[in-house]
Amino acid sequence: MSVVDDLQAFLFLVPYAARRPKGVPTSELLEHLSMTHEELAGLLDRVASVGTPDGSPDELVEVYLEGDRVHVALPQTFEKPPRFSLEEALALLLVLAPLRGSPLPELSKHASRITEALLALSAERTQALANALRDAIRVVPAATDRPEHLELLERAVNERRAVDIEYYTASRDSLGARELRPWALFEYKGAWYVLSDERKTFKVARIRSARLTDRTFPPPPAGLDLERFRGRFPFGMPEEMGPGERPITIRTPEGAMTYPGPLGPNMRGYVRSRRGAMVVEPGAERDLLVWEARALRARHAR
Amino acid sequence: MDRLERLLDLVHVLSTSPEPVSLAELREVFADYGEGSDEAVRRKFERDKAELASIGIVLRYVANDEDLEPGYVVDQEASYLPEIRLSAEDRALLARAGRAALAGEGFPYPRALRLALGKLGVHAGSRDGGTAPPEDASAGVILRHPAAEIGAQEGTLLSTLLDAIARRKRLAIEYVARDGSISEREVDGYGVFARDGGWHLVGHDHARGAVRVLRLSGIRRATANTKRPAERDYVVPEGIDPRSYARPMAHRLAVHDEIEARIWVHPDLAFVHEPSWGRPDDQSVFTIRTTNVEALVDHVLRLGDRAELLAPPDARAAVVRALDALLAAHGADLAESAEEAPR
Repeated sequence: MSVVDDLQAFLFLVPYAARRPKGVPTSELLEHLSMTHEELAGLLDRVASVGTPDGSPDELVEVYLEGDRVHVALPQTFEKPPRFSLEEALALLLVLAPLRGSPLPELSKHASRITEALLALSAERTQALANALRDAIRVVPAATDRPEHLELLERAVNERRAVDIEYYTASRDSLGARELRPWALFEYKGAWYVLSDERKTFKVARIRSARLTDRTFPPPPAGLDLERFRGRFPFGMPEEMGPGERPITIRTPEGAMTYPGPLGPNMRGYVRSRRGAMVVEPGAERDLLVWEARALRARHAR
Repeated sequence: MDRLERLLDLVHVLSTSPEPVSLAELREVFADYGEGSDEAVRRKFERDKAELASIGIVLRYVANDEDLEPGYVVDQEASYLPEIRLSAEDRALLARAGRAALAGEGFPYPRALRLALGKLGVHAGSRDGGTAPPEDASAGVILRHPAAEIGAQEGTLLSTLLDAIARRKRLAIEYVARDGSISEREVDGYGVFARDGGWHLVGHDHARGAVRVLRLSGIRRATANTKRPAERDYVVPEGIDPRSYARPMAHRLAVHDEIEARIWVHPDLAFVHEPSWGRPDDQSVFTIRTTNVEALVDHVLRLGDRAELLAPPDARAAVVRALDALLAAHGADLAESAEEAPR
């Protein structure tokens, strides 16, 4: 840790812990400070005499580690953390950039409002630099997103209202009407998806038409971490593999991955278009892929 | 005296003194400032002052007060965060956005982000992958961050670019083009944009005398000009928006000269392609201009029997070659008939 790192850590932890009469768990501080326990203990040793040089004990900052908690008995003048440094302002700008550029209007407005509020809290020499960067960091939405659908779906998610859609289902290769009760929206590789209360995902670009209804639906069960779906996508949750479904192993130049079968047209399309990819097993899925590839080859070779 | 302790003591002394403190007075209080020539001590003090300024603590020299001796004070207003009024929704969004950014290795400022969120009283989750309880796990948008989808090396490069753009310092870049050729570039950075998980730099390329877009994944090395750090090397022209340089469609990436391509897509699926390709004719055939026919080849391969690349002939041949490679990888005989489905 450099002196600047230690300075920042001290100027954060003293006011942070001083507000908590029972002290702060070290785990909480280690998270915010990106430090190990040993580094934190070392820092507290080094700052044992901070205050007025050659001053009496009551003129020094009193900060100590007791058990698994850090206590600040005397913060002296260190009662507030410093404004945001340039790196902190850049970090916040960068974190909020995809949200500000989001095609979801409510999310975009919310993120823009927070960005303005936070930039105003930057240190004075940081503010001009960060302002200069605000418009220089952009995250570009996918071209195939349908903004009118996204706006309607964002509203449906927030208001828990069902949507009647006309949807092209790639796995069945069919266009049909259905009711969608959207739990959440997420982006994956530049395309937007809706997660429904049936725990199925729908690609927004494949929604031909959408109509918001007045039919409402209950929120997702408490404790269900929707972010896990994004982490697993497009391979689904392993515990959700249906009866009779077998894992399919696909090898790409980067390595092997397992996918809960059966392999739909969408994933077969992925294997066809991904140079160097192949289905390892099971044999039936490999045979189907090969048969389709021959048919497509014959069409283009004539 | 430990340097960390000296800097913190300096802040404390200047904060508690009822009057500005001159450097001469500081020399009496701090043994570290007591030794050496006046010039050496002043340089040491200025270094400390700059170090503190880099983290937001502003020391000001006050010399225009009739009743006070000139000297230094800590500008409390400029240095410390005022009370922050963020709503529960604001905190929840910041927590989820922070967690999304820290999900991978590529986010360039992980430490600064955790500290900034800590100042806001927001928890983004611990470093070991475990997370603090989500403040709003049922929020309707599952967030991702494109910086979390790049590697640590690209993340470091991204921070170099952002820092240089903020300070308007010229970048020296070693760049590997898509064709594998390596070149040295001098670029005035205007901005960065992310699309489909890939980051790009937009800037004025001095050798080419024009604005260029460079892929972050093609940048092998980037260093900002270190001469005259406080001065700007360039001015960003009015109206530059990195988004306008983001070619949003893969088939418009500049790989070759523009050609015309024709693609039949099954009528049920044609609407999916209209935002990118425009309207098809009454036979469900799209006619488009492309500078990256390979992207169309990939797309037709994905669509399978729901599409056919009708023209140009070279692109049809590319589809055949890709399928030949796929069949060979699966140990299939190319000569075998495609008439009978396996199931």
